[in-house]
Amino acid sequence: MSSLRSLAGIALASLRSRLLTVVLTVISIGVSVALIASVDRVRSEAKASFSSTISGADLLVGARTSGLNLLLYSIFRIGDATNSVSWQSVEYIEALDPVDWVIPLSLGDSHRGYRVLGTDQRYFEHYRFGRDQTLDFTYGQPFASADGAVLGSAVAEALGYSLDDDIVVSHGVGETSFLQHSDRPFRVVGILSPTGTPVDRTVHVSLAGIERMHGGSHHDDEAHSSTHASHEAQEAEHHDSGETHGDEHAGEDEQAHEDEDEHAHEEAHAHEEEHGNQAEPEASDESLHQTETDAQTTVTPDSVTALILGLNSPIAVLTTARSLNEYQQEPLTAVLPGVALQQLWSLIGVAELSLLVVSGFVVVAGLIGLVTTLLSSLSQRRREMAVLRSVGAKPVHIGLLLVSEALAMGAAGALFGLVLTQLVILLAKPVVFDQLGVVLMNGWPTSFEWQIAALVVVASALAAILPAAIAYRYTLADGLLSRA
Amino acid sequence: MSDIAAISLRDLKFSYAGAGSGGELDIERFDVAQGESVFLQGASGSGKSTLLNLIGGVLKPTSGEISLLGANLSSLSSSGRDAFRADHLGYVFQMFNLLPYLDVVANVTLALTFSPRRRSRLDGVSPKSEAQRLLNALGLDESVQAKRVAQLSVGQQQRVACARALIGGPELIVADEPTSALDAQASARFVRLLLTQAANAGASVVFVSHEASLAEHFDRAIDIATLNRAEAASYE
Repeated sequence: MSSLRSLAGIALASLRSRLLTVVLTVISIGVSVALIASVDRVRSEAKASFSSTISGADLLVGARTSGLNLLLYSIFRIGDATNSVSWQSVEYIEALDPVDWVIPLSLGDSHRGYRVLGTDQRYFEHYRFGRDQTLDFTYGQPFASADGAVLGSAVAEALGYSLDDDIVVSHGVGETSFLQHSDRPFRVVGILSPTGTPVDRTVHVSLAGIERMHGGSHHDDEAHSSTHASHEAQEAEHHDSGETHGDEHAGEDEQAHEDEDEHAHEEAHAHEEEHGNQAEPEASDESLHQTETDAQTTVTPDSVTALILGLNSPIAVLTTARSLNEYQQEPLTAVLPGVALQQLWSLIGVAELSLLVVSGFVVVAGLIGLVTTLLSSLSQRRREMAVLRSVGAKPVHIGLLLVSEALAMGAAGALFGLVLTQLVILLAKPVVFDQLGVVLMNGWPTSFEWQIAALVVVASALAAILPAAIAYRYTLADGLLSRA
Repeated sequence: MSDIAAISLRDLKFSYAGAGSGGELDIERFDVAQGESVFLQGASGSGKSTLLNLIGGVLKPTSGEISLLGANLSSLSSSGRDAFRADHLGYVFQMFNLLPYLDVVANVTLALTFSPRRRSRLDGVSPKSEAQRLLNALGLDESVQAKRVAQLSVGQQQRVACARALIGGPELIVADEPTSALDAQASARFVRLLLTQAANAGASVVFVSHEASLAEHFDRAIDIATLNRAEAASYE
């Protein structure tokens, strides 16, 4: 109907004449829409990204802790393990009947703020993320020697590394660390393709590499001159003696400790002398690589942080989990990744909900602003309404005029909100990825965002009912002769 | 056609429910012929606002009959009265006739918005050019038409309102104190322009004002006080 079309034109002209208040109202609605949409984006992307971080694994095993904690530190690299799993237990688990494969994970070191994960070849064979996707290499291949490192895509990109670069790992997981293992650099041998999971932000090295770094002064130099068996015996001995030493001298004077420290230093010096200078001719470098390749096959760690298990049959998952949780030799926790994820959802569900509720209130505040804008203009517009009445506008037209003004502001606000959401995503993308490992993507609004936008438009029209009703009453009371 | 009165009031009674002395109306008989121009003189409180709201169909009489162009307004629904007003009546108010956010021409064509009949009566002339023709005829040239409404003088605004009342050829023009903000000279000029254009369109004019000096321009002049028995009664 042409009178409705003209009414819309009048509404737009009227809005244009109050541009400043209208624009501010539209912005406040837009900001509220963008807030709720962004919160939902981060929420759902985080959920999707957490869910897709690990796939195809049947159990996570670590030292006795909560399943959720185990999931967080072993898979999401959030927080730290308080304890580790002894290598004996690892071997026991590997030998269990239902166990198909095991991925050992050794955490606790970092490289320039990125977590370092000690693992072995099986990680690249069996680790799955997303919809059963394997880890692919953009460059290079898995490490074959103890000094090889495989970088997640984000590490390589952020730090500008390429193949054959040397990197130095520090102890602990802070961005800066006083304890740098600088005498033991790793060489980049592979860079993984992006996965959108914490793998992207991880530096992978071999378990032997981790050992080389921490225990290097103790047994690396011995390892290459001894057999596997004798090394293990030595290591066990050393380990045992260390413990008894600690127990025996607990509370005594510190002289003994200092003695041992000195002893360790001597060993370190001896090591340096023995291998000579790193900058010597190619031949000796070659031989060094040779010994370190051996080291990977011969050196086994004392312990690992966690294990990812794949089982032969899904039927065995629960019984295996139970038997590991009741393992007598060492307190262990075995958890189904899905169950731990559920614990995570229920934990963050409350925070998530309260965030959404707060965002919802912000939307309500935006709508109240819209009603205020309409109401505040109303008394000045009584003359305008009388004029419209005189040319034949029905009271319902006056009401419609206000509703369509509200609709226009609501729609503009919702649209602005959707655009603003994209802007927020664009700006927040790097920060969110860095802090949470969650990948936010620009793109068409999600169905939730369309729904919010539609809801805001409808709510704007509904919110206009009050001012429209007041305007309707004015027009009836004033007739054609408002003296306002 | 001319035997049907533009306005015909019979035994018209109106009172606001619970209202005091103001606004009551009791008119035995009042007729305006088609094409006739009538000057209604009345002080404020004489019931003229009520009378104009009744003629405009915004108020409904308590009893009696209002016929406009042969149509009994009382028999129409309020929505029907709104449509009737849009089709057959043109209004000029005391002041603030214009929507400040529409331009001059759009303020004139506003009168066509709610009346397909008045649109069709343009005979194929576009609303814009008809509005411009009327504005020119009322002495508002292009330079004035290009101005924003707020930049117009009161006299110019009243003439724009006049063009709006005339566009689409409504049979009845109702003007409520349109010259109250104008000086005597401007008032007289305005009244002459209005009456000329109304005569060209064949429209009847009911012009309410307290300025008795303007009465000479009209076919007939009546004091509302003499019409309104309710008012007369309250004086005695």
